[in-house]
Amino acid sequence: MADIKLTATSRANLLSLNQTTDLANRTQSRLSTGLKVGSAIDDATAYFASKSLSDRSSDFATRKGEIDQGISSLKTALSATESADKILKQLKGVAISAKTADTATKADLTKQFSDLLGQLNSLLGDASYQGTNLINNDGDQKLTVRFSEVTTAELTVDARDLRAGALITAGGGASATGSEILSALLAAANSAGAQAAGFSAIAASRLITTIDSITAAVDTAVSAVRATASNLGSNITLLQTRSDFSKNYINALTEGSDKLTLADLNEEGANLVALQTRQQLALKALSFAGQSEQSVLSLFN
Amino acid sequence: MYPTQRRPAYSKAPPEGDPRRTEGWALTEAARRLAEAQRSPENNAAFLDAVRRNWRLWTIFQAGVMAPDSPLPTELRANVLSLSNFIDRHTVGILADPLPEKLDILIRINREIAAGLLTAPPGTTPPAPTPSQAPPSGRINHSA
Repeated sequence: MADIKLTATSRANLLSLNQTTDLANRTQSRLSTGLKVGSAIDDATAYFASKSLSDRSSDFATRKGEIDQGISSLKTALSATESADKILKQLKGVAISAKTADTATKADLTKQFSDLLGQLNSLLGDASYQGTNLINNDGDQKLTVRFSEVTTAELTVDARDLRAGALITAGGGASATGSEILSALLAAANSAGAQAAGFSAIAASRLITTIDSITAAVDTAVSAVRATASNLGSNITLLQTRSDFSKNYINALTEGSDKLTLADLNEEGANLVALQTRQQLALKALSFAGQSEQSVLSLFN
Repeated sequence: MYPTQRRPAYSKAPPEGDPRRTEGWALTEAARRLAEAQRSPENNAAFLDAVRRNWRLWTIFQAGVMAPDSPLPTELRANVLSLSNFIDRHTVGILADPLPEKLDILIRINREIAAGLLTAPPGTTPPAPTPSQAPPSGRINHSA
């Protein structure tokens, strides 16, 4: 093979290239020992290396923050659906006891029934997390969690309406009050009128069928609430399984010569890898994120 | 972002300039807070705060070892990334279902890695026994 001949110019270029490499290497070793770089004027390479690290770190922190918030929103909504389920069970109990109650007790039960409906609504109103309420509106609110900066993968959870008026569709609309809903229920089941007086206004001959139709409406509401709970629960699980943040980045890195494989560890595997990593670290004077020393320190100050 | 907490004297941060020691200290400090949270899980806010801070610390490491020009050997980077990925998934699991016993593995990982970082590699000045007063080790260059 013939010798490669270099012109003076290309030799000079090569030399300066080598020097640049040396400089870059020196910068790297300084970075790994924690030399602080204040601005781009001090040392451009180091500054941008450090900046890209903190950018990447804050990208990740943002994604993780969204997952964290997403889980908190879903958990808030989920625990409210559990309470809603309990209130609906009480409602059914109240309606059933009205079957055998005397007139005075019926008046009391009427009040209890509409109060419970009111409580259900205010409970749902309190179930908002950072301004998002997933269970008391008809879909104008939603939760969106993005999993990655590089892909468009995201989870969207549309809000559902579990307010008494929306669940028990006898009438009065989604934002109806407790007594309005009870009136509507009674009107639907008991054509005799005078619904405002509650359970005591139901004609004796129609009492059982009326209350049965009310408990049927409450049962329908219970299944709607349980369906919502199961939907929220499965979205929480989905957030748990989608919480790997670095795979996409790793794929981008492995396209180069650097062969990195990212293992999915279980607890036992994590223990072993931690032990192995400890040994590796004990042999080499390297740190993970030298140029981010300050952000590490500020975490615990 | 986080509520300020009184820091006991023994967790005093090391002086800046030795990232290895800083990172080892931070891992130990995170583990200490996790262990504290584990002892009093009824304080839900403090529990989640400890978990989130540890997550944030590992996020900084994750970003650091993912730099294409990271000076760390590939095997070590892969290990740290695998661990941080595990910590991501495990932490999200804790946020969804905060059980004290789930902190065990996080505490163990932090202590192992901290032990590695706080070991002086062959041919370097060993870290002084009292980190809060010790001068930075010899290989650190403070001037530009």
